Amino acid sequence: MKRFPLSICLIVFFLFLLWNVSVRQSLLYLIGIGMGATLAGARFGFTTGWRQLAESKDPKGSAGQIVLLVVAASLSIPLLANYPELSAALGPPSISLLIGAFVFGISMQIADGCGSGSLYKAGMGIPLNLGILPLFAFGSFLGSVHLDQWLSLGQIEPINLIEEFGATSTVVLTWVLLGLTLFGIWLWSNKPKTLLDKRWVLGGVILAILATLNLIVAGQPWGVVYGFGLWAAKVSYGLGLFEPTANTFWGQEGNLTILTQSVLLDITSITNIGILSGALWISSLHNDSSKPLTNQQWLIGLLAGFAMGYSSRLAFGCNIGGMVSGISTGSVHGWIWVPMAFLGTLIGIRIRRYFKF
Amino acid sequence: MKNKILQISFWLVLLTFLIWDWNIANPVNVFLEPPAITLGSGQKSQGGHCSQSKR
Repeated sequence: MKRFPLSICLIVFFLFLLWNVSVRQSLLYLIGIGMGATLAGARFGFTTGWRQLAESKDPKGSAGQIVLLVVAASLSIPLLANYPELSAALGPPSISLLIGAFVFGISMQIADGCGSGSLYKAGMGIPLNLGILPLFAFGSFLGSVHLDQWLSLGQIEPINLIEEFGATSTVVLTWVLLGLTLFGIWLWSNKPKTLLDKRWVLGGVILAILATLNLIVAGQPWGVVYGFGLWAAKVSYGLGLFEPTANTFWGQEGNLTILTQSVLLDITSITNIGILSGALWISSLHNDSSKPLTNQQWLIGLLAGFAMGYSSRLAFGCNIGGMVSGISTGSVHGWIWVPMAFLGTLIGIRIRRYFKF
Repeated sequence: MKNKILQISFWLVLLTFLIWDWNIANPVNVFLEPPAITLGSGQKSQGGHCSQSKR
């Protein structure tokens, strides 16, 4: 599609949201477009960055993600400490988190895209990611349906570092932990003179600013998975296949209310649509260069997409809701998510290689 | 060509879902809309997030 008519479509949708839904949702749509355009324009793939580090000892992508986390944490933590109406991404440290993040790390490598990666690649028209999104949504929904059973295996209350130590100490602690992670990345890598690459750094800084704007406007951090689960829950509920009041997660008052509202009122749904739109806009001048997949690769890729949706729900977020939002808003669960997902990545890369992706 | 068809189908399915949902969901009351910017409004967000186990 040419850029001009596409731009008109995006503006019309923005105006529809502004007039018929709310100013907040229209602003979040613009923020989502910015996220999608940045992810696609900079090819800021969390999965790729980790794979390049693990396989080729190339640290640039992972270092770019550290830049993102440093900037996002430095902006978000003081805001959260001073404005009680803003919420952090607080997931409970639990068995569910350990298993979920580990499986997510495996499946994101096979599917070649995490939460944000699958979104922006689907927006760019990459066939496997287009096929993965509906399964990701269904997996995420099923994970939320089973969440209370996973949590019964063992959990503690979410730990909010800002409440424990205050804003300044949390920012400093986050910088130190991210600095140590960067040092670990350097040790693992081929030890280049510079860890930073312009494309990754610029992408990381812009995404950090957009994630903070998301927090300022929405009052909650950037997320991806909840929106997908909601879409599948709505379809299942609409078709009479699912009774939310009989389920622990969807039967909660807040989720029941969201389920009966339009998805255009849901925060993560609207940024997800924005990311798809922004990536489509960026890709409108490029031809698809993805290589065709065999039937077996399609099957494995789609299964990985389903597993990714299910496990991201157990892990209290994907790379965005769990890692970026968790760490940048002072939640301990983000710091547990990263090593577990990286362990999974090391296995996922081998499976990926076995199936010749 | 196949990829183009898949891409167009994806957007059509998404658009159909949004229109279907808009028609079956409770109507949006624009006079009860949330603050345009939550920061400084004093009102906590009522949105769902993937990190939450309870709402």
